Parts: sequence; C-alpha cells; structure tokens
Amino acid sequence: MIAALPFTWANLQQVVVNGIFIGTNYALIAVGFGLIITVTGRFHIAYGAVYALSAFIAGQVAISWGLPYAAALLIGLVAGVIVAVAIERVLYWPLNRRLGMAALMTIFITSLGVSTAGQNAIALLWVDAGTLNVKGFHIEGVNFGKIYTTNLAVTAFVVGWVALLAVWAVIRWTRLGRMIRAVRVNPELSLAIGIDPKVVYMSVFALGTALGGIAAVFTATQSTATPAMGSIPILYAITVSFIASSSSPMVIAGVAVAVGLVQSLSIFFVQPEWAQVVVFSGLLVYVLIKVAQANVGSFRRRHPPATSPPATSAPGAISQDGSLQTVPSAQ
Amino acid sequence: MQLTVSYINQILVLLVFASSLNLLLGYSGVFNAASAAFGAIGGYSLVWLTSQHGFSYLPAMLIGVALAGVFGMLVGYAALRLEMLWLLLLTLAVQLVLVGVLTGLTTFGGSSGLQADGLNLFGHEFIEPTQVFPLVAVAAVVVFALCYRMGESPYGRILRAIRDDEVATRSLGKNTFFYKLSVFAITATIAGFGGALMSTHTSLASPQVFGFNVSIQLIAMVMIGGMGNMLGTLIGVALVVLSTPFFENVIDLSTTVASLSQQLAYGVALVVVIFFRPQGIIPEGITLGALGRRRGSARAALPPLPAAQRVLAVAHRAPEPGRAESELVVQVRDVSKSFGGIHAVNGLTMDLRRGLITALVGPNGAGKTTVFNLLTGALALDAGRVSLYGQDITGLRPDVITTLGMARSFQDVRVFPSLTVLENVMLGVQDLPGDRLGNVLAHPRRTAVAERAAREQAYEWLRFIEMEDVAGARGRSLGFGQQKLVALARILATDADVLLLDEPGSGIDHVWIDKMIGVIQQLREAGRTVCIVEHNLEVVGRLADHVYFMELGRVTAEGTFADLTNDPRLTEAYFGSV
Repeated sequence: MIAALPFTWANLQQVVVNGIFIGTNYALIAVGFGLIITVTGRFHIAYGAVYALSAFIAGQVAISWGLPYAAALLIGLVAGVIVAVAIERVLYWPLNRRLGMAALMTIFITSLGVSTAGQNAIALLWVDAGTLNVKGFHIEGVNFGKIYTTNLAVTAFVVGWVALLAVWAVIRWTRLGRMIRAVRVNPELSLAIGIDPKVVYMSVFALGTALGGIAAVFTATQSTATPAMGSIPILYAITVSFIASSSSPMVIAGVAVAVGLVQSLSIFFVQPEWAQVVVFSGLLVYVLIKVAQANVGSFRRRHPPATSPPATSAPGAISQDGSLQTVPSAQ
Repeated sequence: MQLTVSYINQILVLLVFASSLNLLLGYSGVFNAASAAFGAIGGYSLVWLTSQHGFSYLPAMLIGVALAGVFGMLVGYAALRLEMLWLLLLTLAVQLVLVGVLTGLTTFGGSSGLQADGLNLFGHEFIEPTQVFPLVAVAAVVVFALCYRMGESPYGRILRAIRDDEVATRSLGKNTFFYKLSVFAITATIAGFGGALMSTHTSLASPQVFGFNVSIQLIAMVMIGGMGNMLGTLIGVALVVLSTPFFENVIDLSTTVASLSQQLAYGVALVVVIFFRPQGIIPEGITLGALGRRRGSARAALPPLPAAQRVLAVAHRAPEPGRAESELVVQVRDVSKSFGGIHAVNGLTMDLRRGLITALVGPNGAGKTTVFNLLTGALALDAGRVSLYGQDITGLRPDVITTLGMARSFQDVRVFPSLTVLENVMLGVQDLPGDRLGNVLAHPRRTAVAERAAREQAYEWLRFIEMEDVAGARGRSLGFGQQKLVALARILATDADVLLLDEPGSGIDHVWIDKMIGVIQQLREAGRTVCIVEHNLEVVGRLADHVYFMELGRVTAEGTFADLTNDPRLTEAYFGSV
C-alpha cells in the first residue's frame, strides 16, 4: 500500500497538531454521547441527526437574521438541546418505563427511526440549499513555526476544551453533577432520596447535545453542513466512548484525542480513505477483546485449576453462561 | 413496464433479506446491525468473481453465500454469549469495517464499487428487469417459504422461547447458544444470497448498495410489518419500497424529494409502530394457514385427546424392583459459592431421595435459591461436587443437567409471555425431531407426527393441572397462580426425575396453594424426587418429608418439619426474636 504522506519531522508536527484538533472534535461528540449512554443507558444514535440540526439552525439564523457568529452558535445549540430533550421526554422515557430492562434494543431501534426521519426532514427543509455554511466567522491562516492552521481551528480547540472542562466541573463539583452521578449508579435509590431521574436524564441530554452541537457548528463553519454530517461523527462517538470504558468526561476526551491522533497519523501509512476504517477497527478490536475476556472467563469458571482457591465474582464479571453481568444476589 | 418490474424485483430481493432478518430479530430476539454487510459479501463475491476472474454465475454466487455463512458463524460465535449491547456493537463494527474495507480496496472499485457486466445464468442474461425477475421471484419464494417453515416449526418455537426468556429456555433442556448460533449463521447465509441477488438486480456491488442505511431500512421493514411474522415482513417490504413511487407518481414529487420523503416516512413509521403498535401491522401468530386466527387460540385445532390420563405413569423411571423408595438420587457435597466477599453458599452438603419431598428453608439471604442455581448449573460452583444418580454433574450446562433428569422452576415463574400455554408446556417435551432444523426441513412428516404426539403429551399435563381450558391463552394473559402451575407443567413435561421447585406456594392465594400442594403430593406418590425452596411454612409443613434449615449459606439443622419447628433457636433465627 502506498503511503499518502512522506514521513518527515515537519509533516509529523503538522499531522500531530491536526490530530489534536480532530481529536478535540471527537472529544466533544464522544463525551456528549458517552454522558448520555453511561447515565441514561440510551443508545441514542439519533445524536447524529440532532448534531446536524444544530449546525443547520446556526447556519440558517446567521444567514436569515444576520446574527453574530456567537449568537448563531448559541441558537444552534439551544435548538439541538430542545429537540434532544424532547426525544428523551416524549420517546425514550415512556419506552423505558414500558419495557424496563428490555428497553435497550427498542430504544436503539426507535433512535434509528428518529435518526432516519430527522436526517431526511433536514434534507427536505433545506432541499433547495442542499448544504449550508455557517457564516460570520472570518477564517484566516495561522502559522506556528512550520505548522499551519486556521484561527477557526484554534478557536474550536479553545472553545471545545473550555466546554469539556466546564462539563467536567459541573459533574464533579455541582449539585447537578452529584445528582447525575447518583442516578448513574442507582436511579431507583436516587428517587428514594428525592432525586428525580427524569430531570437528571433531561439535563444529561441537554449537556451531551450541547457538546456535540459545538463540534457541529464549527465543522459546518470550516466546511459545510449537510443532512448526513452527523452519520460518521455518531459512529466515532460510539467507538470512542466504548473504547474509553469510562464515564469520566476527561478519560473519554483523552481517548478521543488519541483516536484523533491515530487517525491523523495513519496518513503516513495508509491512504486517507482508510482513516475511518482504522478508527472503526478500533471498535471491532475492542469488542473482540471483550468477547475473548468473556469466553476465557467462562472457561476458567467451568474449569478452575484444581489447586486454586475458590474463585470469586466481581461486579461486571462474566457470568457462568458467559454474559457480562453484575453480581447476582444471593437468595 | 421495466420500471414496474424493477420495483417488483426490488421488493423480492429485499424480501429475501428481510425474511432472514425477521427470523433472527423477530423470532429469536437477536439483533443484527450488519445484514447489509453480510449481503455485501455475497454481492461483491458474485460481481468480483464473475467480472474479474471469469467465474460462472452459479459458482460465484455459491462462494459468496458460503463466505457470508462462515463469516456469520464466526461473528455469532464471538458475540452471542454476551449481552445484547455487545452484539449490537459488534455487528455495528462489522458493518462499518467490512464496508469500509471494501470501499478502501481498489480491487473492489473503491467508493464507486464494481459494475456487474454480462451476468448470466446458463446463458440467461440479467440485463433488463424482466430478465432478472424469474430468478429473484423463485429465490424470494423459496427463501420466504424456508424462513416461514423454520419460524413456524418446533425449531421456531424454541427461537421464540429464547426471545422471551433465554434462562427459562435453557432450563428446559435447550442449548440456547447453539440455537442462536445456528439461526445467526443461517440468516447471514441468506443475507449473502440476498446480496448476490441485489447485485444481480442493480448490476452493481457498491458501498451504497450495502451501506448501514440499508441495514436500518431492513430493520424498519421487519418492525413495521410485524416481528415474528413472515406475512408482516412481506407487507413491510412492499410498503417501504412502494412508498417511493407513491410519492413520485401519486403525490407528484420530484425524484429527489420523493426519495427523501420515503426515508422520512419509514423513519416516522418505525417510531409510530414501536409506540402504538409494537406487534407491527400483522402481529405474531397470524399464519398463512389461518389468516385471521391466532396461533393455538382455537381449542378445535387441537387433536383429539387420549381417553386415559397417562400423566404420572413414567414407567421407564419408576423405581426398579428391590430399590428402596428412598434411594439416594442427588448428592450435594461441600458446595460453596461466593460473590465477592459474600459467601452465599458455604460448604453445603445435602441429599435428595426418591419419592420424598425435601424442603430448603431459612431466612432471606440464607442462599436457598443460590443452591438451586448451583445444582442446575445456572451458576458455577467455587468448590464441591454435585452428582445425579452417582454421575458427577458438576460444571455441566443447565440444559445438559435438565436432559439428564433434573429440572427446576423459578421463583419469578418465567412463563414465556408471548407463547400460548400449550406451547409453554410443549417446550418441556424433550428431544423432539422438530427441535432440530435438519428434521424440520428434510423430514417434515416425521416432524409433524412427533409434533402431534408432543401436543397430546402437553395437553395431558395441562389436564393434570386442570388448565386445559386455557391452552390457547398467551402466557402473559394468565394470573400469577395460573403461571405457577403452567411453569410446573412445563418442567413435568421434561420427564425429569428430580424437580426443584422454587417458592411454589408464594404469591398465590389459598385456592391455588391447595391445588399446587395436591399436584406436588401426586408427584411424590409417583416416585419423583422433589426439592422445594419455600417461605410459606404451612406449605412446607404439609409437604416436606425432610427439611434442611439454612443460615448464611450453611445447613445448620435438618430433620422433620416438626423437629425444626420445635427448636426455639431455629424459630428465632427464622422469625427473629420477639
């Protein structure tokens, strides 16, 4: 296979900086998606459609109302947040109440329906435009030594990390954060001590969607907004948030930056069109490792070494039938 | 004309995909986000081998189909032991990576894909839709009939049971992993076949033809039409495909807008169906042979019953001459199980004897149900040994232990909600020819004869528990007491000698308790070995011949019920000090 870019020091610096910027974008969407799935358990694949909606709304109000860029960005985020909270409140929450533990797949399929409908609704609403660029940001080139970037990329990087740190601080130090952490661990017990999971879930959808919205608007400023612009980012978000295996925003963000770097550095080894495959292969490898762990765990439980002490189960251990389970309670 | 036939061809090709997906998702409850990717294996293989390597149509198609099947088996083997979330993730990753790799490789045409030129089968070219029609029509009819047959057979009944409750299905002697793996591999094979047909229909193998959107569209077709119903699949496919010409010709929209509207419509329809009609347009149970009538709902459909109740005359398992009634059947020796630092069961030793009812009693958290889980293989032992008729069954799978003669019921009953009462009990009948797919397809007569016999047998058990009148009712429609008896009939149908009954008398009123006690006493008289876990001491007192008292995972006392209730320390341990 022919490498797309020669491996030089100058190229390496450029590629690393590009990777960090790409990774920041992934961090926003992955932390947003990860927050939603780890707290609510919703496999919210419609996140991608809402992501696109934020960009289109921001682009449209910037054009139609001539608003400053920051105001357009804010309105885009608010629009996305309203829609996401409505999806949770009107669709996911009632389904979860109806189906309980069996809701995962149904909510995922519902989310697929919302995603398909949303993406095509956006395409129909902007059918004449087809694509949309968020205007109002004067893009200029910026050089750091031999590294070239733009003021937009730097702004997106700074705004992105400020938003990520803000969400991290909210979760770590505020009352809302404590409520989120409590509901993540045990929604039923949280309700017993006066925390309404419904409110927390909606808050999490709002926070998670706002993070993705920031990435969407900057992406649509750099290039253009398209109805399908969220399709790949949501898959990246899934990949990163699962590889991170953590509910901590900073851990997810760190993995996202690593993924961005891997994708960016892959340009030295494979053609650019393989970059996505490299990232998705990460998800495949991660799941296969989990599968191997489950099968090995299952085998060891069935065939314990004769001299070993009695095995014990731990939270999240693999059950006797190989499924990943929490500790079964003794009767 | 050609356009109309092209739409029909599209319906037929997607019917192949969707039928297999419904067998997997609707009947078995196993998710697969990679249907289109398995199709890509069939489609790309066909086009690549014929256009670039000079293969004939049939060998190229067969290679693609076989590859899809093998790949499906590997994916299924990897993921089917795990929770749904991991299967969802793995199939999603397979879809993305496989299509990504095909897109990246120039030998497969990159993002444009491969153009299929000159596809022909024995000289019959596939250029115009009318030329493709005979092939896809025959293929769709065959695949539809095959999936229909599988879904509505005893094999399909097991798939539906797995979908409803995998743990309960396994406890009835069914190797659920094998069934899930077989159906996953079969449906991947069919999807590969569908992919080859799709490439024949479109003369193309490209990332767009087999993209993730196609997998979503297939899920929508199955959900809208009706999960667990092949007729629904046909309607779902037709509705989704024909909505495009509807928007284009009836609403008079442009091609682009019509296409977007079609996708918007099926996305909305998917959500609406999930909310307001989760069973889909045609619910499960409406069959080709009985349109308008629910499966098993009519008593008249059942075969005539035998005049005499066979019920408990399990001749081959009756005590042999010279063997004592109290023959030792199950030996439990020094069994331990810990969860983290909690010793749920700690060095437990007990015996179960033929023709006796043994009770395990003790306060909440004593580890009684965990003992059942350990005996039946639902949990692995940390230490100790369990034997059944002297045979070491430690570490065996739950389904194997059931087939060896030890079956259990559950505290939370676990009746299959979407199956009829009769089907619930039929699932207990062991080793039916129709349980194996090969017999379903190759020996339909033998399967049908055995199915009739199993139905009669199940009916006898229902008469034994005096519930034959509700044979056609769905499990979900029963009251709790009725569910308990159905669960009992279900394990009786396994013909297991040893019956472990978890809380048979809890949560039901006195009428049902009396009925349950009467049934269990008859089991003892018939020489069955019965062990009950029970909190209701009245039930224990009326039934138990021997009682083990458990505290904190240990047996701390044993004897008759009277022995134990006369011990003040045990009474205090059970009820607490007053």
